[in-house]
Amino acid sequence: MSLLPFLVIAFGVAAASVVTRGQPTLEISIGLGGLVAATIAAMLISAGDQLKVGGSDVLVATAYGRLFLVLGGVSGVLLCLIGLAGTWQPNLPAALLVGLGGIGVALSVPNPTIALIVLTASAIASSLAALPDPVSGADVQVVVRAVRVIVIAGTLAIVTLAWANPSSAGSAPDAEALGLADLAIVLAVAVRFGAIPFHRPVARLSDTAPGTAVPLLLVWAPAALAVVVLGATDGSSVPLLVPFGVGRAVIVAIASASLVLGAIGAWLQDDLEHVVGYSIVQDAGFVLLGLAMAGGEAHEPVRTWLLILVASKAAFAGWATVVRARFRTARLPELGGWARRSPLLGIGLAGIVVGTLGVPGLLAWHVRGALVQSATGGPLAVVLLLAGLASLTYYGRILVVGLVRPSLLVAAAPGDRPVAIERHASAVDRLSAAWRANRAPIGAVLVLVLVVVSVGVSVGGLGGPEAARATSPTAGQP
Amino acid sequence: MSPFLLGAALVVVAGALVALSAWDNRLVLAGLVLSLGLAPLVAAPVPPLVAVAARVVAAVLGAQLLLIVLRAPTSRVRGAAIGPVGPVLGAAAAFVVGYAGPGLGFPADGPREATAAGLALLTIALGPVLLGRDVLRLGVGLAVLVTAAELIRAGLGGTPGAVEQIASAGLTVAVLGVTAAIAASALRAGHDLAIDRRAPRETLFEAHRLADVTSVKPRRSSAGRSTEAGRAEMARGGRGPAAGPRRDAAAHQLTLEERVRRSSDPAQPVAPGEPVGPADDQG
Repeated sequence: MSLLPFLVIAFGVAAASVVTRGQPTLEISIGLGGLVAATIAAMLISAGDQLKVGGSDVLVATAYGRLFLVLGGVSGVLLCLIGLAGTWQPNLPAALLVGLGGIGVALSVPNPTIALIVLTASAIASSLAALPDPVSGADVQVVVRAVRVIVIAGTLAIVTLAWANPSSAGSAPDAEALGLADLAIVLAVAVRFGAIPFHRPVARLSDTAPGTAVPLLLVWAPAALAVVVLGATDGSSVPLLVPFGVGRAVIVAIASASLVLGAIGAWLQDDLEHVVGYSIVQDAGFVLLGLAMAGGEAHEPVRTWLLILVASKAAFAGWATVVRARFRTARLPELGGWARRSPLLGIGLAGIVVGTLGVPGLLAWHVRGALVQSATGGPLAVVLLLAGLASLTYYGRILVVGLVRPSLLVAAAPGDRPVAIERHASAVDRLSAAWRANRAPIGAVLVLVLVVVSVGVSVGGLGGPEAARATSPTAGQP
Repeated sequence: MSPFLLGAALVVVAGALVALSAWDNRLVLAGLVLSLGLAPLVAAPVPPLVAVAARVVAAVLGAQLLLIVLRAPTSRVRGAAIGPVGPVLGAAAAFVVGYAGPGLGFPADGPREATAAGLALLTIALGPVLLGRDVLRLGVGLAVLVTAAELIRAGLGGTPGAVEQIASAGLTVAVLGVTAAIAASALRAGHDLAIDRRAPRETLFEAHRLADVTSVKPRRSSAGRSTEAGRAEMARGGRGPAAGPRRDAAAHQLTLEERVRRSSDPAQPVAPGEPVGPADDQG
């Protein structure tokens, strides 16, 4: 029953937020308040609680789902505050709430088909966060194509699950057909994550969507899809996803291409939002490596990695949004000296690197190594481990740009030091004036909070490894 | 063979063909409601009345949302890229294939009519989904694609439960509702519903060598300030703003205050140009 308040708040407040659209003060109050309330409700979810929703269908709360929702909720609140301090997107709170609500249902429902349908529906609704007001022709096309990708991946996964469902009595399915089903459902996850060669929509969406919506659109929803796909096989007798010859080779090839070419793509880009997009493409390679393996225990590292991904990409996208808002540009050639102008943002980027890559001895480092070594071996494993570390090149490039002499744009931007304000009649006015005058340092501090959460998950805090070890509600379900 | 199931399957396919081939918006939506509303009946056993009602209501609601948007005089849509003959023949071929081999290599729990109708819908939806030339055509194609998946799932795995049917109804509403929202936004901004294949090129940002930056004339951006600053820096031989297409004045780059000002006075365009805080020289 503890899941119910979260779902009611998420979907109810999202609807209220849509209804109050056009009245910014009310909409922001409802949206932001709803996000905070949903996060608190997510924290109060008890693992193992059941909620009956039909004749035989129930929602089963899990520790993993709770942690996923808490991370999403906390990151969502911080991203909304970053939006308030920088560039505001009216649809964002409602999209976050719908997205998290859908993820909450999908990670709790034992029937994987229902989970896939709900995830697809919520992802489609969330994609409206990428629609600015007013829209351009290009915006329309990008959002429409993003919806198309979500629907295609969702239908592919739904059909594949039904196809490979051996629930009927009688003959066993063909081995070749199972291999194809294996490949098809992993391809659905690859398409959603924008793994190479399906990366084109990611590049377009990261260009069009507001930076604060990127984690929801490109990481959280695809990560939840991956969790559902993993959960459909954990501990079950269903041979779906069993590595099967050519199918497994193709999955490993796509993962390898994403790891190598994603890093190169991110390094080549001059635009921070594109760097964020390609870094997501690269890190999705580890998810696909995890999907190439079978069995509940083998899936533990990838479930842990997905939590790390959820937190670290929220921090990176938030950081890029704050940099753009602070310096009025997101292009590296114009951002010379950004770290000297804003040491807080410099510390934030360093924390993002630690949160994503980890260091020897930390959970993130161990998980990345475990995923590569479980899925591959020999020279390829070494190549993929090095490819994973290649992200240091683009992080390093951003940092080097930040340490040179500040450009005129950067020098003209506000620094990290808070600005004192004059006395005002009321405390509300004073608070409002202080917020407006100090949006630059506030944005940097919000990024640092996101980074702290990311590093916390990366070191194994917040119960991540234990949650990843727990059985999924879809385990054993056809 | 069940005549009821076969008849329902044929009506579902016919409705989808009308929805994806007609030029008249009302015909498009009528075909869509027919196809999406009857799809849950192509199952054995037939699902509970509540589940069927949920799917019918979802189809009507989705169509109603589209109808509200399509009343605008600028909402003319382009027809199908090809005539109805090709889709009809493709659907017929797919229907026969689905009927002849329902399990596609796996044992099937549902009626073969559902698989056949699902494959037929999948075949005719692929064209609009991959090559759709306007938002409506693409959205309708996506709704038909989702229905195709649900039919194939019913054919392979048996009749879905009530909760799954309600979730499917939600998915239908999500697809059609988001299509309507996108169309409404486009029309409100003065665009038509056509999808311009060249449009995304404006927003694509391609990587370029840093060395190229100083050899390209700076582009005047709406922000103004960045260009002026960059020009001054380039004159000194330093780094200037990089060339290349980029949405400096994109709507989502507006701050909350800029949005409020714009909504209170739509005639006064507000370009994103204000810093997020006062500049100081102490940082």
